[in-house]
Amino acid sequence: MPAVSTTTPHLIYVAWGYAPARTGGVYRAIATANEFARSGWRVTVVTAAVEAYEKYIGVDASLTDAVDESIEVVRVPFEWATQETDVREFSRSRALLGSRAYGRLRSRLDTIPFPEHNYGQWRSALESALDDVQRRDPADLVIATANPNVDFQGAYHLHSRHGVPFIMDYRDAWRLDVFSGDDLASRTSRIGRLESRYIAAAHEIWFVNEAIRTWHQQEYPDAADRMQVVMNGWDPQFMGERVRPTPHDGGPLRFGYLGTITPKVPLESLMKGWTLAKDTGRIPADAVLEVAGYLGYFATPRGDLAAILDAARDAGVEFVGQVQKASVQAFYDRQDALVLALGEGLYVTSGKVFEYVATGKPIVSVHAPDNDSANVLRGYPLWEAVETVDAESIAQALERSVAMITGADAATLDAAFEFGARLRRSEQLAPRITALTEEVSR
Amino acid sequence: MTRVVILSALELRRSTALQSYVDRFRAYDDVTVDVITLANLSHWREDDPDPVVLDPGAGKRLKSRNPWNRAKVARLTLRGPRWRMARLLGRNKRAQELLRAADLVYVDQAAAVLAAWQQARRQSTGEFYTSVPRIERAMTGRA
Repeated sequence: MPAVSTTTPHLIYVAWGYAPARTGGVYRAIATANEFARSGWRVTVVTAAVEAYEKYIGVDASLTDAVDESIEVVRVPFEWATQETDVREFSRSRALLGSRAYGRLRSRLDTIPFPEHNYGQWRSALESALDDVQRRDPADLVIATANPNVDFQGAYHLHSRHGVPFIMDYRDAWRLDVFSGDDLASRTSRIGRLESRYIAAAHEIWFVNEAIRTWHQQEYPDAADRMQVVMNGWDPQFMGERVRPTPHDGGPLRFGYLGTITPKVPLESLMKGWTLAKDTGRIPADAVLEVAGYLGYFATPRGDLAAILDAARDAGVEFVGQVQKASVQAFYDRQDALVLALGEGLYVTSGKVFEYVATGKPIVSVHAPDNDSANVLRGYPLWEAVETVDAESIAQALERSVAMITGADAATLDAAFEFGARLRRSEQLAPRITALTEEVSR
Repeated sequence: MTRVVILSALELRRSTALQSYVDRFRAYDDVTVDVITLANLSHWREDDPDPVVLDPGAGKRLKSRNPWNRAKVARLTLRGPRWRMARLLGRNKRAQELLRAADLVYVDQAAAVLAAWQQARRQSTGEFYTSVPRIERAMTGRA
């Protein structure tokens, strides 16, 4: 890494989704930037404009308070024409072609500057914003977190034009479908060629779990020694003061699910399993399953998912919608157990598994046993998991969980609480930040 | 008083979907809701607003055995329901009055977008959105 001229190193952090965006990766982005700032770095976050979040994906205003005060945030305008809902903002072509034809055409056009649907068109605005920041305050390091993968292009741009070393932080994968394990793009495709170029030039490449790292090490053996696992973790600024769980007080059992409910989440199976468990008396008749979170990835909730939840209302399923991050602790406090429903996939580690573990409460896993979240939960003293994701297996797991909840003594709850302490996000980031700070100061 | 108009391209269907929007919008204080539909809908409730129907003869035409009736021809050409709705909306006086007085217009169905876009260019007042949560946010902002 090149020598730096100032005593305080400068990090440019590229993340399309940053506070107050309501996206899955936003917690990792906020926490990473914060940890660097607390470790003595000057941090500039380059991200999308708040109006883009408000219009297209929704915002959580409480996230803004979690950003370290020393961090400078540079907002880059972003337009997502196919997600625009204000008719006055529609172009003539969208009105005349019709939404479907326009969406197809626009999506293709967006991939001309960069091969990524919807986000590709952000490339030029991002690169010119990064050039401005670099001219004003040269960076010692740039980290780009993806997806969207256009963030990587921003970091690579700073590297190729200004020689700034960069780190690729994969929260997901680009060429690998983390749910199915299939290839999304070949090595020789435009995406494959770009990824090869980025990885060859990157100072480090970070992954959220070992499975994704191993896949990339096999694909890019020359870069294998620069690939690191920087796991997710739970964030004290979002969780608030941890409350040590207490044994069940005998009231109606409350199960909770908190997280973005996407079509990948086995929501229908969970509802069927819950209803079956209720109908067959495997869980008490007054037990409640409180479901919280956005329905789908976007600001407009998905009607099909809402209908599934609505159909299970008579079985004690309550849908409470979005929970502001500042209210997350209160949500967890009122639950007796937490339901971890996740999409299938060897490569999938959810961010919420860390929050769940941090509560020290019993956890019922409703996901495929080979899901990477199982590796995080292995050894957790209050954990029940389904064998397969179907109604009967879910009902059985819920039945076992009732015994686990009512039988958990103070010592077991303490052990679960201590288990969670190890999975703080700062614990995961600290080794990399320390190493990078040393390299920069050399 | 916030005036909301639901501009829907639904035709010859149950009105159930629109009823849920009517209920959601009426849940806010001091709101009146009006409905404009492309063709007749069924199963309206007593307290639902009387819809302004742009093409009340659509049902008869579609039942007709004449293969050359205009609606069927329209479906086989690029001048489908989007264009029909845009043309009929521009001509309908009652619908024009409602839209010009509206603070918020919820545009239901992709087929209604062209009509809404042309209407938005005709009038400088009113906000036209294709998203129910966005309409709700706008109502919250007005409260």
